[in-house]
Amino acid sequence: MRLSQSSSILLASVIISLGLYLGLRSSKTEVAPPPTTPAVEDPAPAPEEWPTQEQTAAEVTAVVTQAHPRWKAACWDTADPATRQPGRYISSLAFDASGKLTISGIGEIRDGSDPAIAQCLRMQVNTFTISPPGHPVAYEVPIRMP
Amino acid sequence: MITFVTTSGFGGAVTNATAFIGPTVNVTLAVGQRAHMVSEKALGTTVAGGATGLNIYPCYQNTGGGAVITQGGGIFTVQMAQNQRMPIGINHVYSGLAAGTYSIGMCGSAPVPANWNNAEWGYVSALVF
Repeated sequence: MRLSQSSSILLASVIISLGLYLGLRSSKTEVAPPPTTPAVEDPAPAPEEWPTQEQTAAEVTAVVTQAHPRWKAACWDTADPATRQPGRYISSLAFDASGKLTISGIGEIRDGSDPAIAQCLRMQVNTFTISPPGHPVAYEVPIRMP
Repeated sequence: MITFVTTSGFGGAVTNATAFIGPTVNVTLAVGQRAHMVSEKALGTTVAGGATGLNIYPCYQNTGGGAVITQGGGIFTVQMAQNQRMPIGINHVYSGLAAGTYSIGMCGSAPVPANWNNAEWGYVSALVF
């Protein structure tokens, strides 16, 4: 049987491809581990140990309440009595799965906040921790100054 | 895992030194973590002849102290005519910072800050991931 030129090329291609496939398949290749993303320890507890949302919210409110005297001393007591205005603010707090504070901010309430006091509150360094919630959480806690 | 916070308020005013000019948030970063920040604030002027020369950047400052550090090349010579007030925005992904806690937000400066006398509130949102 005579094969045409194009059929010969096709047959040769199939044989070469098959050979390459089988050869590669049988060889053991070292697979590089995936690029490591920066390791962040995640000591989150098992789901059955997670506190309820209500428990976490209560704990976040408690840490803000505990911080209030420190914030008042830093931002209200030192402010100019002639210009400071009593006000309301929103403490926005985000925690990671282990309960460590990752982001904090102070929001103002229109016609209800003193911008200078708010700016001072933003500069306060907080190192809050709560019981590990098992997943990231974010809460907003209303506060008043003084 | 991503955590997030959004706040709003007046924040700092424009001065002739590079400083935060909107509300900021504090982010605590572990090694290798990054923070994405988006911030906008209304700025303007009522001065005849307007206000000029405002340079803005995304910035960070270690909450333990130190200088306000600008990021990237900035947005320069923002200007407005009299009786205008417009939102101005900036955003950034902070990466490669040493583990620690940082204030992040929009910062800026202008040679005649008194001309930027028609500011209003701003917003800042941050993600840590």
